[in-house]
Amino acid sequence: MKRDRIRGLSVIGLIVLLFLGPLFLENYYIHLAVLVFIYVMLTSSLRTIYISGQMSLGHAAFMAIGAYTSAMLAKHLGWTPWCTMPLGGIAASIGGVLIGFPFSRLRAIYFSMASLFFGIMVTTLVGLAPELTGHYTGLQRIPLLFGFPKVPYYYFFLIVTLLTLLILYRIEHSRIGMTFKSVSQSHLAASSRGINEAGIRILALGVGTFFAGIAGAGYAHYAGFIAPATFGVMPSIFLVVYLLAGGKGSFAGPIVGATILYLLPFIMREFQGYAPFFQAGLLIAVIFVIPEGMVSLPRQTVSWIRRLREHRRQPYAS
Amino acid sequence: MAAQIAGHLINVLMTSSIYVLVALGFALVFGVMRIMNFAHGAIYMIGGFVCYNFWVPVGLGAWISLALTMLVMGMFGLFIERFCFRPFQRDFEKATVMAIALVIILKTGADLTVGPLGKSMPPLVAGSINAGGVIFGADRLVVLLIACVLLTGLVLIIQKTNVGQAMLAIAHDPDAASLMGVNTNRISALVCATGCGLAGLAGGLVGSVLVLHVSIADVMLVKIIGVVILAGIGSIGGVWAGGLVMGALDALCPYFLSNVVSDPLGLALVVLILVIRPQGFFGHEM
Amino acid sequence: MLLRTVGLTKHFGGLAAVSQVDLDIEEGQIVGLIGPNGAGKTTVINLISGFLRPTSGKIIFDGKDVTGKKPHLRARMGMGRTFQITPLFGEFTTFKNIVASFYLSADTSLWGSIFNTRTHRKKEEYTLSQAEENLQLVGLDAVRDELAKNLPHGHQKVLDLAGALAVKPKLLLLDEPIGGMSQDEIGLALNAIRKVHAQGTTILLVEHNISIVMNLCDRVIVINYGKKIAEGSPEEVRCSEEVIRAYFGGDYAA
Repeated sequence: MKRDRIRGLSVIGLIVLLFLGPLFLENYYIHLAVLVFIYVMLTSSLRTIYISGQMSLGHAAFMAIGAYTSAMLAKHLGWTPWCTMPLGGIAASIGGVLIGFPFSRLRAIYFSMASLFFGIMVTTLVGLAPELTGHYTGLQRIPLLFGFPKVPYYYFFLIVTLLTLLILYRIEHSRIGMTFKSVSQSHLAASSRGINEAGIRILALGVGTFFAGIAGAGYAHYAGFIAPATFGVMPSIFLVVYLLAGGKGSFAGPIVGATILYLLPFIMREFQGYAPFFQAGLLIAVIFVIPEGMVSLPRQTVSWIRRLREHRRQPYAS
Repeated sequence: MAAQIAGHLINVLMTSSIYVLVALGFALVFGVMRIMNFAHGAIYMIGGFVCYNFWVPVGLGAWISLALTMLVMGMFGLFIERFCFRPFQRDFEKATVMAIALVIILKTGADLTVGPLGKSMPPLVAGSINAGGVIFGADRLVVLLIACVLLTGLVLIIQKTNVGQAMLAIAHDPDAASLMGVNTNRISALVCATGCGLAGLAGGLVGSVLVLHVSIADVMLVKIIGVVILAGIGSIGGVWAGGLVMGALDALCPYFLSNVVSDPLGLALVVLILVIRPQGFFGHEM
Repeated sequence: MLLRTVGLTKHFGGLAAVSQVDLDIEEGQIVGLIGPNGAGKTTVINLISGFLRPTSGKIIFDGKDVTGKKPHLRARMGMGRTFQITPLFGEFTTFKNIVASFYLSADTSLWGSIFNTRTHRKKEEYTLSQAEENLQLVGLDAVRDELAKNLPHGHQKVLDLAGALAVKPKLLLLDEPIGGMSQDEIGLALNAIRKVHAQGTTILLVEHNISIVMNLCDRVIVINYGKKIAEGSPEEVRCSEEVIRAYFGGDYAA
């Protein structure tokens, strides 16, 4: 259990560091941190849907539903963002549940295709009420949460992300999480044990999309501006890339994946344009070399080193 | 009135034929290699720019450029089959991830080399046709004819030659086919090369009629996945039907209904088919 | 009458896989369902458990008409089953497979899961202890930490049985529970089946191994070409002309 204690302590240490962050970081990095928090929320919630056996290729669309719902309610009806953000999450969740009814009984590949198309469809809906939604150019002057100083946003998103991760963690390690994983492994076994497969899948969708909606709503009231391009096909695909590269099999996977891959372009500064090459490269490396994702890298290197040492000692042992 | 219908018909047929040209490559790769090539839209887009480069800066003119584009993109198809897809033949998940990595690389490459500007080539054939009051460019008709010729040729090859039959065999049952002595690797390479060549050529054709831009990769990818879903995942013969429906929707909707509705409508139709009849019009259950 | 089927029929296209089958199974019985290969036995089980929709006919379980109901609803009513092709939660360990199968005994509320309420914890403890019992009952304690997908075939079948028991079934449908097992594994499985029956569970058993069926069952039903051709005690059935003809052909009858 020593490993668990080390892990627990390092998580706490990390959280403490995160809370102290703004003391050391300049505005630009605080801005980046906020975005990382948002993408961690998105990728982790995508994983919650994934563990029930559904690979959603339209997750960014639910971020959009949350963002637009919250932004439009706040801007056009004058409601406070503190009210509209949860509503954005609920709207996204309702959307998730609604598409769950027809989609969750589809087989994996058909579900992915359906979610892909649904995701694109959502972004085109802005055309239905251009005056309200700002059409393809985007919705401007969305009421902000805290005005202009960045630091309050940092703490806000830090806390919301930590809460999200806590809830998702609890769900995954509870009976519900076990049921998600059961359903993804065997249709027959699950049904014969009394599990309502479609219902469980819809639940997973509802939970995952809720947090995507919250992330989206938060983003809207941080950036003050949203446009359909932020939520289309490629953003959804990139969320999947973050999840796969980070490690789809573990809870920390999406966190690692989102952080590293999202920050990559910013780390590369002037070579930003080349960043996607590295992201793709990481993805390829993952499929070839570390199928369980970057999060398994420490463990894998340890076992490689161990194997190398053994081989050195007894090169011809079988 | 009749002229208007003729004009619309040409538009529908032209749009559909382009969709079918590109979607067929995608469907073939999926049917024979069991891989969902997400990079197919990017290949179409890159083909367009490759053609532009042969045509305008290098100055080779229309027909040579188109032929060269088909060749170059075909060879590219061989390359990606060998190094990107063959290692993952039986692993659908990994192959799809590889395709995603590929599309990211291709699109980024395009972003960096071509940039955000649009490029366009002069029309294949100058002049316009006046069909009883409706005027449209003659080049559209030529594009349609070229597409039809190619598609007919492809259909004939698939149905009449050994190679084509081998493709169908592998699509039906890869193990049985290889037991019968079919060289699946070579056929896969051929299929991928053909698919990419056709997609690249389609890009070139479109570039002479409309404007090329890096964003057309995404748009086309969505369209052809839609076409393939309508046709039925796994069906190759049904692609013409899917292409026709999609082409009709795209060509007619903005005109008869509002522009706003046409986008979501096409997508909603695909979603509907997925929900009601996942095998599409002609597909078999996966 | 715990289970009754009336005129149970299933057509696949033109083929009648099951035709007008009437079954009556009383509480506490062990009933065997036998017949030559392809007779339709598994189809009958699939129809009763809800994994197939009958073309016509009714299924009445525990006094209620379950004909249209989805399999998970029938499981909740107390119908458990095993499968010929063992479906397992492959990535879970043996023990976790059983724990996961205790879904119906657990607290599945979102609130309970997130906040780890007392109810949630209590129910999880309960399912853990029940799963432990099941594990011991079927004798898989030795491999409890093995991944289910790595288990030998026979062990997987026993695990399937343990999972089926987790729904606390009134009626247990066993589809070839000992197919492909080694002698030891067969011993384990029969032991478990006997214990379960002794606890009061009604069992409908599809099995190829005639001697086991004759040994274990109170009543035997014989099916051929989708139709019921004989029914009665093991001795009656063994001597029945129809049955002999079905298995060995006309020359051996009489």
